[in-house]
Amino acid sequence: MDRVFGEITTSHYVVLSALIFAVGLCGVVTRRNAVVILMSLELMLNGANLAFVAFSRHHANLQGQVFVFFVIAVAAAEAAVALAIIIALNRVKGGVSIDDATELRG
Amino acid sequence: MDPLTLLVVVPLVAAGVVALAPARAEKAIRGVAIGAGGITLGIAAWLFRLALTEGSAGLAAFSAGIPRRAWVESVGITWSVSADGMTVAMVLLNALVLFTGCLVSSHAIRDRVKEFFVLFLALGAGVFGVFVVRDMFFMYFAFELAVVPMYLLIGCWGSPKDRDYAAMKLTLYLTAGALVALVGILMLYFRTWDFLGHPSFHLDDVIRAADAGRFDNGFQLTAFAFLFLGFAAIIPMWPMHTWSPIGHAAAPAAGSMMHAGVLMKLGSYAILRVAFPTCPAGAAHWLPWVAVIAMANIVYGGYVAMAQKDIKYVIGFSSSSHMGYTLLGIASVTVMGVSGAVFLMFAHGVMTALCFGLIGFFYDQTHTRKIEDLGGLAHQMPFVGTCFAIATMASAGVPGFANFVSEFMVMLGAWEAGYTVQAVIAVFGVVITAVYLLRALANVFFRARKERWDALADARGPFQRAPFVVLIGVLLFFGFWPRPLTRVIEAGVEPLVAKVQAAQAALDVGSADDGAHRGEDR
Amino acid sequence: MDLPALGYVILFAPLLAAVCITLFTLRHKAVSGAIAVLGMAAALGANVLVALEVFRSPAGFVSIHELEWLKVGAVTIPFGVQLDALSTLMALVVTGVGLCIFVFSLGYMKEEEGYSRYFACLSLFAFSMLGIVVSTNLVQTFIFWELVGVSSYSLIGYYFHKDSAVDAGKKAFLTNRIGDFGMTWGIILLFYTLYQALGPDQASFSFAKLRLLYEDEGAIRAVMEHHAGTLAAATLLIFTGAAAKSAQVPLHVWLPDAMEGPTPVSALMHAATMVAAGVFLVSRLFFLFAPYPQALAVVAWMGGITAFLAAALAFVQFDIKKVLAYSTLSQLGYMVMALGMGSPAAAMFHLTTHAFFKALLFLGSGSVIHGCHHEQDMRHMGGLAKKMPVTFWTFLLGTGALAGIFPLAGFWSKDAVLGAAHAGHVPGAAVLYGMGVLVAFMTAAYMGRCCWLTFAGEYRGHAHPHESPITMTAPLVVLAVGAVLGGLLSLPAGIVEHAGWMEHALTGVRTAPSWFPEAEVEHFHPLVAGIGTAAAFAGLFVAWMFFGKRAWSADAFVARVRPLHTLLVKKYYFDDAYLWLVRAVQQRVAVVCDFVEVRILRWFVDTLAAIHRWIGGQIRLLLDGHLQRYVTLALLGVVLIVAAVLVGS
Repeated sequence: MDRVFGEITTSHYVVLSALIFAVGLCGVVTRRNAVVILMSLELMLNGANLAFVAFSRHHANLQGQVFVFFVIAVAAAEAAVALAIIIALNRVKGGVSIDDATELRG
Repeated sequence: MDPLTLLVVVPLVAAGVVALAPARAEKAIRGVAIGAGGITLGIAAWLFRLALTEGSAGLAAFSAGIPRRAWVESVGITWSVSADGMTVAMVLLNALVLFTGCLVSSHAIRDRVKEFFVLFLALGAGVFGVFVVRDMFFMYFAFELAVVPMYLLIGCWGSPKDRDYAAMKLTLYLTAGALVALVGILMLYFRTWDFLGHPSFHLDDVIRAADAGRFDNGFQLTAFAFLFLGFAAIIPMWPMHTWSPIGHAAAPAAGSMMHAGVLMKLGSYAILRVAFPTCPAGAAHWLPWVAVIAMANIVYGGYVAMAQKDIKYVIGFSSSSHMGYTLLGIASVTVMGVSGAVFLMFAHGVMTALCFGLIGFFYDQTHTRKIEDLGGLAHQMPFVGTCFAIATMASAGVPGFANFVSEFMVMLGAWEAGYTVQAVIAVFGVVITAVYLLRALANVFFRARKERWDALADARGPFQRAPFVVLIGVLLFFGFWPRPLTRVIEAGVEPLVAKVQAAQAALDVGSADDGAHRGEDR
Repeated sequence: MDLPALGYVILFAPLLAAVCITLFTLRHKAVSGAIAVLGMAAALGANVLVALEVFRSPAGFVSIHELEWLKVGAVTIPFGVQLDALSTLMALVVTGVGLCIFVFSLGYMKEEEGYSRYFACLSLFAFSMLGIVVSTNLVQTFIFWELVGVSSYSLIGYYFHKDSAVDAGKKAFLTNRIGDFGMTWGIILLFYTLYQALGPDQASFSFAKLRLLYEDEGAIRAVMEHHAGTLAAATLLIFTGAAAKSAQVPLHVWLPDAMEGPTPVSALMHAATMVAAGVFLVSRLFFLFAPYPQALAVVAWMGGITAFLAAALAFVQFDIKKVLAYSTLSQLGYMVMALGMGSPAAAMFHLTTHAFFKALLFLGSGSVIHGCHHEQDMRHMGGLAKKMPVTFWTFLLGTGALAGIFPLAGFWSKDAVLGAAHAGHVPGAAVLYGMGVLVAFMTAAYMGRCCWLTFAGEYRGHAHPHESPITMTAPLVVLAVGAVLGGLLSLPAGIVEHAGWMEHALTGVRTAPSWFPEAEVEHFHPLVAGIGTAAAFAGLFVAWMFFGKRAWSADAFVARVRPLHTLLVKKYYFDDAYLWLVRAVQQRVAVVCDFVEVRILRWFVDTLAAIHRWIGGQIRLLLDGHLQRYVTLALLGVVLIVAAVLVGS
């Protein structure tokens, strides 16, 4: 393995995290289904988490990991609130398409 | 806790208590609000007594005894309060208006009583804050604390027709003014930082930097311009006054009382408290222009008032006309003139609170402020009519009321400063004032009885009459015996004026030198 | 009690009455009236005690008590009482005649609704007036000066349901305000001129100190060298205030309209007090005028012109009170003319006697109006002599006194005025003297017309005239005694050995600086007195021919001088001119200012706001509610920023 890939450095992790983040972002921007958007959002958060952990190891301190715990906690809360909203949206509009929810236009 | 901090804390705590109280307990809510107003009035009276008996030295010692409390050390914000003669006068004014405003609202406000008093008390706390704090950051903060409730008071309890427009305009103007002043404040702040080596918003530190000569003339000219323009929008100085009359007109009675009575005084107070001691050279340079603009305030405001058909607009424009006297007094940079200006701020505040309280009283019943619709109201409400006649006379600068004394002082001061033309115009302004006020008085309260208004009820009982009687009593007392108040004010004003006068003298010498040099060159 | 204490009693007794009535007895008519009369009586009592003290003292006696009212920097404004011959005399007139009028009001106002309010205002008015009288300095005088304006506003506008009364009150207040404008300006100018010329220690608002300053001829001449124009201007500006209060042309327009107030008010204000204030002030400040012959000439001519113009107007009035109003104007002109001739003593003497007989005439007319059930038009009167005998006889005495018939009070004082004019040195003094004689003729004529129309012939009205109650007739009798015997106050020195205590008192009135050459006071010039009396009798004769015997037809005469008559009926178009000024100038300026306010300033601000709102509206279009578009935009922003950073570095 090592000969094929060489040593796995921090850069690798960071690139991976950027890719995951980008995939998530694409999902958020392009998908219409609110649940999929939510999942893409989680993907973005996890991309960021990966970067945190990587840097935490790189700098040999724990701050990044502590942050990750915060993010996970917030993400859990976010998921709960967002799912509640999606359920409410489903009740009102009869679907979970994000295009239906444009009440708050300027 | 020191008494000055208490002035801010008491209304805030009362606002908190009211906010937590159930909305149904209207009686208790009113009681708390009036009680808080009464307590602040007591503190203000105590302060006044202190200033009278101990003089300015006593006040200075009292202020020095109050510790500074660091709030955010890294940027140099401290909670620090102090009082000089001006502060005492203004605090007394605010306490009077807050107290009487609570009394007036206790029967005038019927819906959303709880919310009203929360906001009203917060407004009072904010105004007290501006008057007592010594830290420029908190001054700005307290000012915004006063503006936001004012927005809501007008927007929610104002007269339906124009309240949205008025509330928005007032807020935008006041906030914009404060922002412009903030630029000036920040200029002072950074220069002071250079001087001290550590940041501080504290006025005493800024003044130390100024006294040490760290603010060169060019810097002062710019800084003063920012500070003055920002604060002048609050006074309001012509032509930045258009928010004020409509703000008066749309606000509920107690709102107008607070707005015209106290809020407008914050601008001139801040100029004296912040801009004068920190930028004396800037003041010496710019104030002659202000003396000219003050004429626009007086004459133009008076004539516009003459053309109004709405009683609240008449009083509103008369306020901006009267503020011209304040500006003139400040611009005169004489002890007489500036003391007169501060005294006028006090007298005008009390008088205009009285006026708006009374207008609110009958507007709540007539639901019209159009002068032509009203008329002959003295038949149905003799007490209110008499009080309004008294308020009118006070406003018209009739002797026996504090307003006369202060306006006379301003004229003397303007003359002493050599603004003869302005002084003559100012005297003429008193004639204009009499014209439109007497016209309004006659057309609203006198002339034939109108059956349409027969159902109106006069102010009855001590509770409804008390606020008016208190305000009239204050006006008469200081009109007949102004000595105590002017003594207190003079003590506060004197060092400020001395500073600017010294700068004036330096400027004159400088320009004389320039002239001499130029003469030699030729 | 010592003098200052008595002085404060004189000043504050009426105020106390006013406060008591306002606070406690608004609902109790009888008590209010009693309190007011009591207050005035107390003031009069204290005044008599003061008079006994002051007039027994040597000439030039002054008692001053001052408190520090306002002190800012180097400027001190005192408040206090100054009791000397001048103020004591004036206070006696105010309290004495005032008390008669208060008592008269008890009966006259009986049926009025706002009885208590009336007495409160009346007491307040008396307080303000006495404040002017005992004042020690210019600012205090100004304060009470304005207070007189305010309280007169409340009294003239007493019938506040009547438009005419409200407007008359307003007019009086504003006209006086214009005078006060000049006065404020004058006071400040005077003070600061002295302040700059002599330093803060010398400059003062105090009469006594100013007087002392003017005593030093050298110092004053030195000041005048640099500030002659300024000091003269200040003096004349202060005189503007006096001219407005004393209703001199062209600031006279408020006085006739002020007859809208209740009749006793007219008697109080327009006979004894308010209008006399101007004359009093000039007497008090005579030392300011004395060094300036030009200023004196202005004063004299203003008085003479007023006396003449107003006397002519009295001929075309049918309202009995209006006749008296114009007669008052004319007599005030007399007094001011005497002042201008350099004789404040004559002016004050005429002021005193005039207070008696004019108050008598006003109250008499009030009694007539009361008797005729509020009819004021003389065309609807007539034959009242038999129905109201007391009123008739006292009115007749008043008329005689006003016309200047020997030996009534008016004869002596008018003679003093004409004597001063005869001996005066102002430019055109001879013309003014001629005008004075002419006015004496006219006065007798219009008063004769008034008497005959009211009391002689047959009754032409529809009411049932009756004599008034005792509270009204008693003051008439008291005042009539004054109108008859008032001359004794100052019999010319040549006639009897001991010329009376008043002669002595009026010496104190001479307030000119001692270096100023004394005005030549005529000590009874038989020729002057003879010409004056002849003019008066000629006037009475003409009136009798027109209205008594009806040998000459007034209508035919009017037809012959139609343009003149129109001019008089239109009151020389003064009112129209002022109305034009108010409507066409003042109101138009107001409209223009309002236009600027709404169409320019507010438009500018609103447009500024509108522009921002438009920009906001455009941006709003981007925000259509699609969350994903927001995210895309945000992303775009990030990309742009990153790009910018990369390019920048």
